[in-house]
Amino acid sequence: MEIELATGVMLDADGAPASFDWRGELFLTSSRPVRWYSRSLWWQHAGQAEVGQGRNLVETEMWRLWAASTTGRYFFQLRHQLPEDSWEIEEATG
Amino acid sequence: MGFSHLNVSSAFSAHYGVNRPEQLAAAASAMGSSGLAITDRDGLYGAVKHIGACISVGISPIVGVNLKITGEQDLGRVVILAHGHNRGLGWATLCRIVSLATSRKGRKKETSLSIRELASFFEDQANCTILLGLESSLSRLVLKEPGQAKELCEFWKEQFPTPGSLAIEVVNHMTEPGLIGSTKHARAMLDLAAATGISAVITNAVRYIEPDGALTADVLDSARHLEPLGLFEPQPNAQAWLKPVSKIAALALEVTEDTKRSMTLIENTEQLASNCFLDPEQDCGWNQPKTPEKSALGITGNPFEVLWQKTHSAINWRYPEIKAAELATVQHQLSKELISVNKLGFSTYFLTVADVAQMIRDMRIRISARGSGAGSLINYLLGISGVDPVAEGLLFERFLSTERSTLPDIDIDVESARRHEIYRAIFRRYGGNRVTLLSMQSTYRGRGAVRDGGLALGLEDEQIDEIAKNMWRFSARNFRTELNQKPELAEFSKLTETDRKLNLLVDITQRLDRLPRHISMHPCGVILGDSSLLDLTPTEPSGMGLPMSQFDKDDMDPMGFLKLDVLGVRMQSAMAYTVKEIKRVKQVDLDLDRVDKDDPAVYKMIRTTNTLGLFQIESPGQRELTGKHQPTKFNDLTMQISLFRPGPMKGNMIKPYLDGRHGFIEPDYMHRDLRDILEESYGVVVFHEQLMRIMKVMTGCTLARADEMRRQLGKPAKAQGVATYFKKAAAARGYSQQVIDKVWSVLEGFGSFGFCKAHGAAFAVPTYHSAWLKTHYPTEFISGLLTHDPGMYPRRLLLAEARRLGVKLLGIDVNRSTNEYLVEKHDGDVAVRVSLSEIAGISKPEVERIICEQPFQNVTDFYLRARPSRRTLEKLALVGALDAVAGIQGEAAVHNRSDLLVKIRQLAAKAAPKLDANQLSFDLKNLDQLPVGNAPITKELELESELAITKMDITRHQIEKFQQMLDEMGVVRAGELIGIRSNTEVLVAGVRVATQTPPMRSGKRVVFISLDDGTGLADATFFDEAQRRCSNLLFQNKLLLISGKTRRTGVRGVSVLAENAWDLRQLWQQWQQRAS
Repeated sequence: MEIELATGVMLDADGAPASFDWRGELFLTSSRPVRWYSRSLWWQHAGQAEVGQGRNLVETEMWRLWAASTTGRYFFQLRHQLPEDSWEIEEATG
Repeated sequence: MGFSHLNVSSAFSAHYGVNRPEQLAAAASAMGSSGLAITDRDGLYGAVKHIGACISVGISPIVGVNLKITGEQDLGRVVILAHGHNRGLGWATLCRIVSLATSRKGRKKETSLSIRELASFFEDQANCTILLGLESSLSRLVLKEPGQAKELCEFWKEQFPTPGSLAIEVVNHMTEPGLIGSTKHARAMLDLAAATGISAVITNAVRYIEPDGALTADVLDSARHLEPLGLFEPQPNAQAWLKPVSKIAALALEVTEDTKRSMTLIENTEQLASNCFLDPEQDCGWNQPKTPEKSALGITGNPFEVLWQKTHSAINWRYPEIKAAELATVQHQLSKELISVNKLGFSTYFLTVADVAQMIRDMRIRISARGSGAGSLINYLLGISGVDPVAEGLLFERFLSTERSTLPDIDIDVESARRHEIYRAIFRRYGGNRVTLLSMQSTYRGRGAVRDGGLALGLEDEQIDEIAKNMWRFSARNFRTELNQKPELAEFSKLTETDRKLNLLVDITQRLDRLPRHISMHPCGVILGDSSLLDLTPTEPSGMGLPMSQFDKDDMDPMGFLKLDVLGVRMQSAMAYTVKEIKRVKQVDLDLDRVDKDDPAVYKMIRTTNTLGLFQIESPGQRELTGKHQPTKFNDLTMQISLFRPGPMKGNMIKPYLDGRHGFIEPDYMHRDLRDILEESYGVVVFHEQLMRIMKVMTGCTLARADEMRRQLGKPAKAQGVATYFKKAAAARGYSQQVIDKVWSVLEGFGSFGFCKAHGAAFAVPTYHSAWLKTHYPTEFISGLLTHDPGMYPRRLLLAEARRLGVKLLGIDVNRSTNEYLVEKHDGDVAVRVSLSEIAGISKPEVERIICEQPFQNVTDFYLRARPSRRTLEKLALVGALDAVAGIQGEAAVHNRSDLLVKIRQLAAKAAPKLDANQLSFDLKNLDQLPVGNAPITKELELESELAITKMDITRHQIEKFQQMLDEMGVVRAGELIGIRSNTEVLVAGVRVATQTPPMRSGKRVVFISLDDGTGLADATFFDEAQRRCSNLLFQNKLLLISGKTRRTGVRGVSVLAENAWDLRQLWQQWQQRAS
C-alpha cells in the first residue's frame, strides 16, 4: 500500500500541525492535537547507528487530531518522519 | 523555579542505564538543576561516584535505589530515596535496605525485598521516601482497574503509616495515549494521588542524558533479557532522557492542564528533593577516615601512645646489636614518622594493619609488604614490612605525606593458597559489622561489547566468535577506526561494506564500550571499619560467600574506608611449603625472615643466571640482565628488579647503569652534592626516592613537598610550576645555571619513568628468600615450586632444572605419591616424589582415595580399594606408578611393564568385584598372577607415555634420545655457551620453553626463544630475516635446533643471534635413515 503524505504542513508554536493539504484539499485542525511518540524497530532496517542518530532511529513523533476541509471532518493520525521532515498519514477516518 | 530529577538510572544499573554518574551530574549542573538523584537498580554501585561528581559540579546529591518489592501479589519496582541532613539516618537506612535486598542474591534468587521487610525500616520515623511510579504494580492498574488501584494505595498507606514515607510518581513519557507512560496515564496517577492523599511528584524515570542514548538502552535491554532485539517488549520510545526544567514544566502542564496545579506538582517535587539532599560529610562520613575502635584492636589508652610504645620497644627486636650512632639515626627517623602519623591522626590505622599482620603471622602464614609501605620504619618495626628502610635508603615521605590526608595504601603479600583463610580470620577477629570485602565492576571491553552487540542483532554465535577472536588490544570505542587499520580485521571490514547488520554491529559495539557489566569480588581488597561500617556501605554476597561492599576501590578514599590489599602470591606458598618439608624431613626449623641477607653463596648462585624458580628474576629478560649485572648484594637485587620495569626500560636507564657499574664510563653525578644520592645507580636517576632527595638538596624543600612535586612532574599542566620553582630555588642556593639546567633536563624526563625503590626493595626480599632456599635446600625448594606452580615456565622445565642441580626425582608411585610433591629420604639423601595430580584426567576423588587407602599390597589390592577408572589405571601403569606395587622394578624382576599392562586390561575388562571380606583373600591370590613373556616396552616408548600422560619427562630429559646425533653435529650445550668466544658460529638444540615477542621501540617484531637441553637455557634472538626463514617453526615446534652466532652481553651473559632453525624430530628421522 502506498503511503499517503500530508503536504504544505503549517505548524503552530508548539510544533503541532495547524493546517495541511491532503488529496488536493486544505485541512484546518479543529481539535486540540495530541502528540505522542511511537518507536520503530531500527534493527530491522538501519545500516548504521552512529552516536547522534539514535533518536531518529528509535522514535517517531505522532499526532492525533481532527481536521476539517470544505468537504468534511476527519480524524487523522499523522507520522512526522525525521530527518526527512515528511508527514505520513497513518489513519484518516471520516 | 528549582527542579531536581528524582529517578535517574546511571550506567551502574547494569544493562539498563546508559550514562556514567559523572556525565549525569555535569549535564544536570549545566541545565541549572539544584540537585540530582541517582537511583540505580538493585544497588548503590554508583552512589559514591555520584556524590563526588555532584560535589565537584556544585549541585546537591540525592541517592536512592530501585528495588523489586514482593508481597502476596507482585508489587513491581519502586524507588527508595534516602533523606538527608539527618546525621546519616537516611543513608544508613538505605544501605541496610539494599544489603537486605541483595543478601539472597546468587543461587538464582534475584534482588528483592518483601513489603513487610521494607516496612520494618519505617516503623518509628520515615528516613526514606518510597516512590510508586511507572514500574510499580500501581501503574498497571491505574487506567484499567481504578478501583483496585485505589485499594492498592490504601494498602501501601497501611503498611507505611508514617507521614512522608510514600509519594506517587507522575511520569509523562508521551507514549501512545492510553498506555503506561502516556499523558493520560500520568494524569490518572496524579488524580489517584489526590484521591488517596498521597503526595505526588514528577520525574522523568531517566535512563539516558540525551534521546540518542535510547538506542544504546535498546541494546542494553537485549543484554539484560539475554534475547535478540525483537524477541522482547522494547522501551516505548526515546523520552526517558534528562530533560531540562522547561520541558518538565511543559510535561506537567500537559498532565495537569492547569498552570497552578502544574506549579504545585513541581514545587512538591523540589520539596522532596531538598529533603533528600545529602550532606556528604554529616550523612555519609565523606572524607573522614574510619578505623576499628580501640576495643576491637584490644588496646586501651591513647592510640598514639600505644603506637609510640610498640614501635620503640620493637627497636631491639629489629636492630639487636645496633651501635649508638645508628640508633640515633633510627630513633630520629622514627620520631619524624610518628610526628607525621600523629598529625594526620592515623595512629589507629597503623595499629590496625599491624594487628592484621600479626594475626596472619600467628596463623603461621608467610607475609611480606609490597609497595611504598616498605619505606616506613614504623611498618618495619610493627612487622608489617620486612625491609629495613634505614639500611636500604627508603623514604617515608614517598609513602605518607602530611600534604595529603587520605589513608595510605599498605599492600601485603601472603601465601596464595591460604588467602581465603585469612579473609575469614579477619571477619572473625573484627566482627562482621566492621569488615567487608571489596568489589569491582567489570566493564565492557572490545570482546564483551561485540558479543552483546551481536546478541542484540541476532547474529550467529560462530560469526560473533570469529569477530571477537580478532579483537586484540583496543577499546571498543575505536572499533570503526581500528577496522581500517588492523590487518586482522581487514576481512571483517570488507564484510561491513555489504552486510548491513555487521556495519550496525560496529556502531553499537562502540556504544557499549566502558559501560559497567557486572560486579565481582576484588581479588585482594578487604575493608576494615568501625562498628558503623554497615551503616555506611551496602553489601552483598561475594563468590566466596563473605559479604562484599558494593563500592569499588576508587570509592574508598572519598568514603574514608581503610582498605587492606591482601594479595595471594604463589611464591609465598611455594616457600612456605619448602620450609614445611625441610622441617618434616630434616627436622630443621627455619625462619626465612632471619636468614643472613649477605650470604655469598646465594649471590654466587644467582650470578650463574640459573635463576629459574626465583621470584621476579626468572624471565628470559631478567636472566639476561642477571648475566650482565652480576649482583653481589641485596641492594643489587632491588636495583635489578626496579630497572627491569616498563618505566625504567622506556627511560633507557639500564645501559648507562651497567656501563657505570662495569667501569666502561665514568659516572656523572652532575654535582658533588648529588654524589651520595646517585652513587648506588652510577649517576642514573632510577628511583622516586632519588628524585625527592635531589629536590631537597638543591631547593631546600621538605621531602614531603618534594614528593608532591614529583607527582606534579607527570602532569604537563603542573610541570611548568615545578620547573619555575626548581630553577629559582636552586639558583638561590648557589647552584650554577649550567648544573641547574643539566639536573632539570634529567628530572623533567623522569616523570613517568622512575620506580619506587621501596617497592623494588619489598620485592627483593622474596627474591632473596627464594634464592636462599634454592642454594641451600634445592630439593625441598623444587618440591615447593612444583607443588604450588609459581613462575612462568612449564613444570617440565623445573624437572630439567632439578636434574641440572643434581636433585633426585622419583617417579609417580601409588604407594608413595600424594597430591603434593613430597620430599622423601632416598639412598641416604633426599629426593622429590612426583605428585599423583600430574596424571592427565585423574579426578580429585581418585587422588583422594589413593591417598586414603595407601599402602597397597599388590595391583589387585590397588584396583579394588583405590577404585581408579579404567583409563586412570592404565595411565598409572604406563608411567610406572604401579611398578613398585606390582614388584616389577629392578633387574631381578621376572615380569615387565608389558605383562602388567596385559594384566590390568584383563582386570578392567570385568566389572570390579564387590569387596567381600570372605572372598577377598581367595580372589586376591587368584587375581594377582601376572602373565609372562610379553615384549618389554622400550625406554623410548616409556618416555613418550610419560610426556603424553604427565606433560613432563620425568625419568630423563627428552633431549637425551637425540644426543648421539647432536654430538655428531657438534651441537653446543646450553651450559657450555658461556665458555665460548663472542661471535662464534654455534648450533644449539632443546625443548622450546618460552617464546616472547615484546613490543620494540622500532616497531619491528623480534622473537626471543629459550631452549632447554637439560644443562640450562639457551636464549636465541630472531630478527626479521631469520624469522622469515623459519617463522612457522618458532611458534609451533617444541623441539628445535637453532644455528647462529654467540653474542656476549655481559660477564655471564650470552645469547645466540639466530640465523636459522630446524625441526629436531625431522632431522632425527633423516639421521636415522642415513645411519641405517
